Amino acid sequence: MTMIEMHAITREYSTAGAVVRALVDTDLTVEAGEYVSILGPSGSGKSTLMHILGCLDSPTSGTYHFEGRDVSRLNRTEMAHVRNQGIGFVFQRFHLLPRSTALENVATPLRFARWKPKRRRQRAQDLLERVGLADRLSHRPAELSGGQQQRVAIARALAMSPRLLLADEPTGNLDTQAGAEIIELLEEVNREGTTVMVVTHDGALSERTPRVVRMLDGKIETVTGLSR
Amino acid sequence: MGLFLSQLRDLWSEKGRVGWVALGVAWGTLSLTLLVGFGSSFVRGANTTIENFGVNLLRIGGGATTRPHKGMSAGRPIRLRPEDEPWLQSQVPEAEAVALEYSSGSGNPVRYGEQQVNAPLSGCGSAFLELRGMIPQSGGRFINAMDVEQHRRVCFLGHRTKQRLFGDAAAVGALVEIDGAPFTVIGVRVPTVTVASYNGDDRDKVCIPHTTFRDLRGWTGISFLFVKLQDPDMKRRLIRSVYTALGARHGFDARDEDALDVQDYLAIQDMVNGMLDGNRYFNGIVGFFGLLVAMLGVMNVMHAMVEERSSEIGLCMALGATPRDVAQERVVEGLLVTLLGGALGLATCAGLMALIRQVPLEAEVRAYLGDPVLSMELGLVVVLILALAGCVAGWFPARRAAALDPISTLREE
Repeated sequence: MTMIEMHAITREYSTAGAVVRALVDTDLTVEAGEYVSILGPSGSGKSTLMHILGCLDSPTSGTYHFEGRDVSRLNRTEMAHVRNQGIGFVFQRFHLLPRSTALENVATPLRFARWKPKRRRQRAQDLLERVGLADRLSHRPAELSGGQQQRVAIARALAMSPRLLLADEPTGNLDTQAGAEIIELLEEVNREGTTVMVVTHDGALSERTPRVVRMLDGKIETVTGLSR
Repeated sequence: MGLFLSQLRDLWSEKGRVGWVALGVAWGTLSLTLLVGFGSSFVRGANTTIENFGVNLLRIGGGATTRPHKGMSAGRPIRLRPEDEPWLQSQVPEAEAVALEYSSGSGNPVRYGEQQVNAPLSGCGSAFLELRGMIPQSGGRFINAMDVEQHRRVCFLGHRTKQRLFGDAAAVGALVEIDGAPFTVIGVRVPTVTVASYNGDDRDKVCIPHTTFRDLRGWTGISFLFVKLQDPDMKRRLIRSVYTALGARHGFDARDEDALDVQDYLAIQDMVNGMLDGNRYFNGIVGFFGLLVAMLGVMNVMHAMVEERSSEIGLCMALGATPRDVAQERVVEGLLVTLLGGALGLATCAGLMALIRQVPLEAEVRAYLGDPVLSMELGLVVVLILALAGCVAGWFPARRAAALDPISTLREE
């Protein structure tokens, strides 16, 4: 089943009077359950592609179908539901709510999905146990290491059991040991059936993904490996 | 409930800024409720001093003619007599009541045991109870028709004279000496401050039946006639009728203004009411600008608070918050902060007013300051306006942030 179908996606930004084309005429298809890495130098358009895939940004032109739905036709509330229910996003800089505890951070998407407080607490607790942070439930982000913060971010991304997990350089700010733990966690999530797409500079990580998308100057240069 | 608790925690983590917003609301609420509380209390107090003296009153005394009339030369003094009271009552239909008074200034010795004071003395009738607000403290009474008819030696004391003679001891039933003659105290006036006074302070005045006064002093003429108007708008007509009626009786030209000495207490009443109206307008203007300043302060800080958190709004959008969720959170936040500030302001105002009510003040100061009370309705309206301002100020930047793609606000971080 095709999960992602992008056709002729272009994303332009206007900066100081000049138009910057971050993504140019990009086509991409991803099947459900795939594990894909996106490689490329800085400024090649990897993050822009991920943001459009995660419905965090809108393309200037082109069409994007997520699970068969044309995303450009959705209103802001429907888009919010897609982000909440269908897609989990892990940011390079974690982006945790600084005043909330690990438990509250993980429970945030559940709050927007109107889960009852007791149920969302239980779910957030289960997820934090799963990422090895059972003893850090009440800690705030500032009290956690980088690796722990990223694990909280992954637990949060998994809170609504999304069909697609997007991770934008999830090991970029971590040491080797913490990075390896995160990679294992992402593989485990993929093994359970979730489609995982990871932006990375890390060759070791991309070697472990069956499919690698290489980008350069806003375009997909090569796609190695076959889609399942 | 979850949203509420989470908002509370968020607010607690921003104590400084939230404190400023809450303080702005508290200050606005406090200053306005104090202003209105004291303003209303002043109005009530001033009105009470008018009521204590008696409303819609004219005091008529004798004067001297300035015009020759029916063969009588100018410069003739006019002496009012007790019979003028029923005469005026029958001749002036605009008058609701007419009451005579013999009035002697402050040099009348009143003695109780070893204690002696010099007090103003008034010979009057039962009509003074209503007309001049001679309200007795409980356990006593004012002069009645029987006292007048039977020339009884009874007296009604002003509360300050009672205090000077008796201290805290009971006075009703006790015998005092007035002009060396024994009088039974039948009542003590409630403590009052009046807007006007004549021939001594009302708080010191000792009232006895006018028939007894005449027996005691041998006066043939009376000091004053008090006339109460049914309708204050009929004042000019009533004064004309008084001149006509008394002119016919005492033989002076009804157009001779100096033949009578008319003290117009309605004019004092109107002047005080004018001052009170001015005070109301002043309070209204100061209150309006005070509220405006508080609103601007609250809106400014709330706006800055939400602007600073736009990246968090972007993150919440990325996690699935709808524009409605975002707006709702800001509204709840604005409400919580302003309600907190409002409660603080109202509590402080109530506390201050309770404190002021306990402060021992001179009777005159207390009479006009009154007993200020917190107007809860006004307080709630002020809090509501400030809450609305805070919510609107938080809602607009939140709506703007929610209208962008989440990545736009996340990138700003």
